Amino acid sequence: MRSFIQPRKKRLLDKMSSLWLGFIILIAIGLIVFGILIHYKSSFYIKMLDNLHQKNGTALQKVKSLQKEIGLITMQGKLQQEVVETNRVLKESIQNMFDLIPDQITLTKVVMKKESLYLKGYTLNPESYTLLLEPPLKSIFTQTKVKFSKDERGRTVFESFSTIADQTLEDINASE
Amino acid sequence: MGLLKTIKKRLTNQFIGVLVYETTCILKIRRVKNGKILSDEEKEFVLQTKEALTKEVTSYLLALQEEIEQTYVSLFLNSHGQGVVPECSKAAYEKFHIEYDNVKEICVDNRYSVYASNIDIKWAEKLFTDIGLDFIFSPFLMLDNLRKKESRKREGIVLYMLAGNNSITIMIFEKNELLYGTFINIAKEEDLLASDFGEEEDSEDELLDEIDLDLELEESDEISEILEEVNEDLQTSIQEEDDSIKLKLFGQDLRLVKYFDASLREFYENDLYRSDFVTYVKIYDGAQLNPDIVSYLKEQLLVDIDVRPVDIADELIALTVQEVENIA
Amino acid sequence: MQVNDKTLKFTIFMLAFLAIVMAFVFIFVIPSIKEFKLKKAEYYAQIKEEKKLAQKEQELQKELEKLKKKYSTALEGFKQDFDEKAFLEMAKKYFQNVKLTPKETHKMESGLHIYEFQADFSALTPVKFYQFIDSLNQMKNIVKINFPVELDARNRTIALRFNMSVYRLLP
Repeated sequence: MRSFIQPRKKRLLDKMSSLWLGFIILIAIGLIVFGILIHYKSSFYIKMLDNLHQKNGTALQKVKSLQKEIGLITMQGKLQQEVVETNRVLKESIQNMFDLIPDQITLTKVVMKKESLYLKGYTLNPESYTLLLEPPLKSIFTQTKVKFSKDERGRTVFESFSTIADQTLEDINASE
Repeated sequence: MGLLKTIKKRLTNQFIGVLVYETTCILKIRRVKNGKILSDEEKEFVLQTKEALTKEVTSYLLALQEEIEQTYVSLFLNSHGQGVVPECSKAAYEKFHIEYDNVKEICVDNRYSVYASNIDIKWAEKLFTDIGLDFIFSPFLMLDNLRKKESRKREGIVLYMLAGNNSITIMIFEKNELLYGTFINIAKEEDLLASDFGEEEDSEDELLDEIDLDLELEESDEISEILEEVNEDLQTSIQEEDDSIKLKLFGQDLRLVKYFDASLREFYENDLYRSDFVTYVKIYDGAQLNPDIVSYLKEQLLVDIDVRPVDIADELIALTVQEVENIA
Repeated sequence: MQVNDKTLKFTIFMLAFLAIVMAFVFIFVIPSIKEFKLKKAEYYAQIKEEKKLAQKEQELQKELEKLKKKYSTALEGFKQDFDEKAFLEMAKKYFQNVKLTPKETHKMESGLHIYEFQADFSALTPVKFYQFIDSLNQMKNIVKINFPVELDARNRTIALRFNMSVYRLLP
């Protein structure tokens, strides 16, 4: 150092430039920090979301399985009710049928189907049948046919077939 | 710091050399960028007094500094409280009766040491309080720089002198060794060769007393008379009298010659300095010296005198640039 | 020269500043905010979903308990293994001859097994049949009598023949 005094410190940039630079850097940093904060907040939500997705997945499964279970139980319940009802209706149908039969007629065979009724039995004479059994049958069923014959003993045998649905005799014969 | 330095080189650097004289202030402004000189400007201002810079100067310098951030302002120190010591040690200062604690010293190349009084340095800084100052350079440094640039190495004892607007700086070398040096402000009365800068000293040297008295008079008629008287007292054996030549030297020129003589005398007579006869004189003329001075000196010393004109402001800038390069 | 320099510098800085701010806003800020809003909305949607599901689960659970109570007999019935012997024992209460002929077994996806039987019973009177059916409905097992039901008059008894379905739920 060959001067009697030391030189002053020199800035690299003049006041304006360094002010601007400082300002720019400050704003930039501010924006970056802001961006990072937001990102950080986002990642918080993302983490929670992951967790939630999982939770909801299992919850949904649970709900589905519950629904399935309910379905099954309901099915069982309804089925049991249906069975009991069907049995009851069947009982009633048979009861009704027997109620229909007058004293003059004796049954030998009954084939009761859902929508048809086959009766075979003895009747005093065809007129008894036509008078006593046929009308109630007609009133219950849409179609009813009867056949009369005599057995070895000379008794009058009737065979009647009544249906509720529209079915031809041939079909019936075939299914029998 | 290497990166910073390279960046700074790419920016515009402004070097301002300030020369403060009695009634003028000279500014030299050089702008450099990437090693290329952009501009060189010199401006001269009028001063009321050498003790303070005018508002004009201050505002001009402030404007320059505001424009360019990398501005270096350096001052050419021409106060009388400075000198050189042929050695670098503190002991040397004691030997030459210089109060070490009152001065700031700079050791140059381990060969000799330049010093200036703290008071003068403070004064210089005070001058620039509003502006700011980066460097204060000693005229000895400038003279030595000029000497180093000499292509021809002289044999024997060479006296180098830097002639400024209001001062002379003398350094006597043998090869590269400094034997003696002195700085004299020739604008007004100074205590010649006084070593204690704390107080005004009563001169014990009769010669000096007589010079003081003599220099109060500036009228040509009286001067010739006085000169004769003075010459009789000053001169020892060698000097031949040439009245015609002496008659042409007035005021400052006369003082220059006188002080030159006195310095040389000090060199020869003072046992503290190892001396021998000066065989060559090289004058760096920064003040457009009166050729009569040179002739006079030639006759007085009977040696070859070579005068080379220099621009002190330029040299100051050169010193500044060098310094910035070395430290920045 | 001086003024132009300063104005130029100022303009450059201003532009640089705006450019940088714009860049940062578009590159960092806006996408971040978008992502944030998105994720936040998603999150709250999921929270809502979670609440909904929890509520639903609770509701279903309640309903399940209710139904379990309501249909407890049915559930028991479906759980019950069909003990042929026990069944025939029960039938003997009403009929003289009792015979069960296993027919096919249907296995459903749901785990429902239907065991088909042919029942041949002989009853003295139809009333016994009615009583049998009542008893059947009371029984733990779920047994359905299917049409056709055949009644044949024999010597002193009525020969009953019908198909029977036994319902069983296996897990």
